[in-house]
Amino acid sequence: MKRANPGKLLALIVLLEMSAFGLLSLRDETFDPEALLAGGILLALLIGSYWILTKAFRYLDRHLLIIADVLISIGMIVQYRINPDIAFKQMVALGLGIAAMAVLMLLLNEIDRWKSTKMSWVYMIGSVLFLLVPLAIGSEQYGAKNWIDLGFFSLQPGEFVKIALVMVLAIYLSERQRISQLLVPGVFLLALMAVLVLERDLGAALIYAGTAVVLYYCATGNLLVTAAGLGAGAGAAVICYRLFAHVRVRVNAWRNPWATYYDQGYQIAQGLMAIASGGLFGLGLTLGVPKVIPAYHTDYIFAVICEEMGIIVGLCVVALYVLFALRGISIALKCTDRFSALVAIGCTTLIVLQSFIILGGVIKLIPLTGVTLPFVSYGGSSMMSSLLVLGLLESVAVQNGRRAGKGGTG
Amino acid sequence: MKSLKKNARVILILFLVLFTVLVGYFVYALNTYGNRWLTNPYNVRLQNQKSSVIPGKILDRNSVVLAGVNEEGEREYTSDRATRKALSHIIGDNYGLTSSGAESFFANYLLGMDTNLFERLAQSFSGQSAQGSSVMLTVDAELTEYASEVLGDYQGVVVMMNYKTGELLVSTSHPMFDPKHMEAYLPESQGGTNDAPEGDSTLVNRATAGQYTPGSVFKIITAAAAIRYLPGIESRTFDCTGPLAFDYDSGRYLSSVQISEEEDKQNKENERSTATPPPEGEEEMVEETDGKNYKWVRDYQSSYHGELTLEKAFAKSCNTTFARIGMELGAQKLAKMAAEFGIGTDFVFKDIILYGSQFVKGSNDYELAWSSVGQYKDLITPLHLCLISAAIANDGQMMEPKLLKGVINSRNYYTAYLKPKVYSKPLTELEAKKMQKLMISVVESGTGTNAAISGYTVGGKTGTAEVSNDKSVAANAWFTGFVLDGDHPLAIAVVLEKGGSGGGKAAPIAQKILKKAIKLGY
Repeated sequence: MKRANPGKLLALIVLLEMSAFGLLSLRDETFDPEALLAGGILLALLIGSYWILTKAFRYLDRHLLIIADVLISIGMIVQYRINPDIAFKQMVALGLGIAAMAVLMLLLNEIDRWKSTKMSWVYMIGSVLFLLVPLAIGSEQYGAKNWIDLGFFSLQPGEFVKIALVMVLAIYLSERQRISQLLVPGVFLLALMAVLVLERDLGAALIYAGTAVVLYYCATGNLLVTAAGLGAGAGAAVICYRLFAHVRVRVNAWRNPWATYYDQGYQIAQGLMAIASGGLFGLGLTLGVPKVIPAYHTDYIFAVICEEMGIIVGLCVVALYVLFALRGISIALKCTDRFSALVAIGCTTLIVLQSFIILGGVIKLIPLTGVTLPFVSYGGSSMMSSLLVLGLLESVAVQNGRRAGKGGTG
Repeated sequence: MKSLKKNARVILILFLVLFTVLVGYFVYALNTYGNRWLTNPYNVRLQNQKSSVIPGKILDRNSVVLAGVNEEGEREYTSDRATRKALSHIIGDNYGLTSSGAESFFANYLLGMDTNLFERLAQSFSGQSAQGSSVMLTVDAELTEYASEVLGDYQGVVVMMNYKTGELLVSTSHPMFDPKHMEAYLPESQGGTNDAPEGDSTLVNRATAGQYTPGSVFKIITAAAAIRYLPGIESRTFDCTGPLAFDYDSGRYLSSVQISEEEDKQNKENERSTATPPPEGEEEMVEETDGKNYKWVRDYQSSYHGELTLEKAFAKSCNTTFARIGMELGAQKLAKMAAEFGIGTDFVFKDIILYGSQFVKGSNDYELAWSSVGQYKDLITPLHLCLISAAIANDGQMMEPKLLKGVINSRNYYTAYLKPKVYSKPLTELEAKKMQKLMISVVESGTGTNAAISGYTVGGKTGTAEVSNDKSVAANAWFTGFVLDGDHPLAIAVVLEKGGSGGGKAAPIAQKILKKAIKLGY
């Protein structure tokens, strides 16, 4: 049976980019060729990387790559609309990220070397040290001390360590082990969580914990321990609420952002007003007032998307993450070994949980914790780590394809 | 491996559930609160939009233009000053100072934020500036102007609605402002004088945001609770033997303590000559009788009604009987009935921002007794009271109050119509019929005879709500009621601040306005 070539979907991206950047080039009634240049570079990056990656890796999951490309496109349009400078900066991160992703996939060609218990110690010690750096020399942004300022751009270790966490958990959980033997990764996880809480990076802590619980459940199917883990998580959340004023502030702002409009509730209230103002079809690109929302280009980019492009595009963004989840889990289901399956589930969970946490926070379904919207938000670390997660997932897909190919069923 | 894949599928389902909840909540929240977020006074986008869009008109239900535009495309209000003022809180203002008026709350339409893609494209290609849609309100300008005139110099509210459709026909709140002249409320940077007195509440729409002590109109709730929870109440008789005594410290009801009419008079005399008014908000009165301290629940004017049926007690608005009924019901059941009528609810109506009302249970007999007759900490907004009367007249169904009759886009097409909607069903039809009977007897032979209209069946309830223990401060006068007539389904609520007696002052005003409405065919 001939399958439709998903590459044709790239035409949609071309259309989206051309219309959006064409519109942006005519902003303020003067022709701005820079916008067309930005659009051109972006298209070249996305189509070029698609072409190279599909040539290099025959069994690449093309749908997954296209899902990510559409999300990246929407994000870049909004960033260029907000400020061309940050858009160009983000394009550098995008290029680096795609390169890093390709390198990772090449390295992972012999995946066995990466899944030994010995390697896990490298991951673990490296992760904890890396994560500790911001505490020592980090700078504080938006109330969280989780950044390393490198001058030309700043690095957020938490974004990269989560990938190591998935590797470590997959290594340990891929062997059938008793709970006592899970002590090492358990301590590792707790250490990471402790550092994140100290850095006030609660969003990341939530994603780490959630991913660990999901992987544990998948590997063991032990509902009792999973429930106990969830219970412990809920307990920890309550303790954090009691212990930290900044957590209480977040919860109060979530309960009624309008009551504390002039301080804590401001961001949530502004986000809701932006979304409601956009309506179904949006105010139109460049016709909104996104800059009144704090973190408009990072955590709150979803509100800007809804304001200018409409709730309908906002819902499409949500749908893209749903497709990502479907695609990611279906890769896991095609695996023939536990390690690869767990890596695929872990990577999918990272992206899904992170998008759910920030989308839910912006629309006031859950208290807001500041994390980026994967692939869409501005942020070099975020973009690169999202692409690395994608690369890891694609490596598993490529390996599945190769095995199936050798077995003669492909 | 098999179980791992099975578990992975479970996780996938979990993810799908998470995103379904996300989208479901998103759609629900936008549908319910979207307009409130959009029209929030903090939203800078509205002012932005105003500078680039010609606003739509605001019309009354008979297409009388309340707010139009001049040749430069700027907002111009009707030249009839009385109409502007009578409807000031309904129209709102052009600066976002009053967030509940049509100017703000329907900004979505007026500023053309509801127009679809094609219409916007058509507008931008034709080269004309963007144009908002016009809104047609449910209120009748002529009738509202009349109501405002009848209300005269009183501070207070008249609201009237069609109880079958929920359409708001009249809503006027005194003191009024003039949308055309907002200088007193604007800072100098916007060409204003900003010299409105400190704490000035002129801009507050008292009909929807004024939380008043209900006083005896709350007996509607107590009576409805009695009909539901005390079977056979209609055939019982009550003996009103003067003020009810309560232990001063514990607030416990002392049924054995009674005083004669002379003694009570004597007590009240003493009170007047010796007592200094207690701090505001407290209803307590200390009296020495037989060396013991009592607190009393008295009737308005300390009447001794003697033997009464429920209907008589309601018609004569007997405090002591209703205080006893309240205590017999208990705070739980009374609170339950209050909740049925929406007291304690945060309303989220599509067209109107209505502030909630409250019933506070209290912690002892004394507080419960006072709250059963609408004192203690009970509060109600006039439009909410009107909704309660409307629900009774509409056989137990409360209609959602509507202010928007239609939306007309820039090419004169209707893009939205009024769709009447049942909001809740506080009473069964039988209970509602019984309540109608009680309220009709108020107007036929009780405290509300001033509201009677010959040839029509009018029901109602009066209230004289004490707002201070200082007897020199006049009470708020209430009347709420309805015309029981299929062709004239009208419900009304009137409150006069410091107006005195509900039956004496508020009922005649309600009668005049209802009569005029019937004459106009509503």
